[in-house]
Amino acid sequence: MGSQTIELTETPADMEPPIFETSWQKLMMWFFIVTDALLFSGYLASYMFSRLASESGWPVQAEAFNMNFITVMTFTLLTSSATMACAVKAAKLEDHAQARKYLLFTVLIGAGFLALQAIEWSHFIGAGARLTENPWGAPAFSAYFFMMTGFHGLHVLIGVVILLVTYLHTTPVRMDADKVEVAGLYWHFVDLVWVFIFGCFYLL
Amino acid sequence: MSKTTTSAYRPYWTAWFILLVITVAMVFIGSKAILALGMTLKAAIIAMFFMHLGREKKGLIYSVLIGVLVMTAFLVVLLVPDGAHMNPGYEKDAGEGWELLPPSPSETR
Repeated sequence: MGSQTIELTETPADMEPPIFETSWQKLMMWFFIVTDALLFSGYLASYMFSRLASESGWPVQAEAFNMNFITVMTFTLLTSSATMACAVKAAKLEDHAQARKYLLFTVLIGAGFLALQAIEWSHFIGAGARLTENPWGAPAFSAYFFMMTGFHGLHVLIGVVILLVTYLHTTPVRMDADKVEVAGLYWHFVDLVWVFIFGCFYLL
Repeated sequence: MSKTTTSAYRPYWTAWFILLVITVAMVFIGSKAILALGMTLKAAIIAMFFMHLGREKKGLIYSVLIGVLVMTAFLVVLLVPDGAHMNPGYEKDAGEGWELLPPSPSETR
């Protein structure tokens, strides 16, 4: 009776050999990352297009932004990515207390990044930037700023929620390392996107 | 309480430090070559050391890389050069289509 009950609860997906020898959760997260990366490459490509097409000179970023502040934001996100990698490693090593500690660090540093971004947005808006105009030059500049950093910030917010839920779903005794790893993949992807936004929008 | 030693996490903090150094180089040197190289390096370090893409099966690595890189190359190559051609300052005779641009904010910046 016991074995029959177990067979009935198995879904067909459980019986098939895993594709690429990885769990479907991780596989789907990778494919989601592919599509989401294409969303951001679409933004960055259209940004480059508008920048080249704008008749007046594109604003000098250093005039519109405090570059030291942006660099600190970049450091913050990179640090949270490193703590997340440590959390995944600790979960794999079954050091649950350590993994939870690193997860909590990641959540806090990620929330810190969001706070810094909120400060940056209020400075930017306070200086007169709107979706349709800005004091520095081409109107597309502020439109792309709000769209790209806004979408990235939304991703960070979702990531913080995912990590917080992952944290709350674990106890020092019980922890699913695969779930931590999948959440970590998403978090690293958010960091990866910031690399390109930082490089293309703020520095180029 | 902790069972693992710090040495288990050392590779991640090494990668983190290298990422910081590249970021600082990008901010303070900022030439186009350094920016392109820096972004590529940082992306590769995050994918390899943080996301462990290298540990996956080859099929998954190719699915991810070909999907992202080929489509991004298409987007950039097909879209971005048009931007320069639509800029009225690029050629005197810009041709039709550039009226689609938003009005220029000022003649002299």
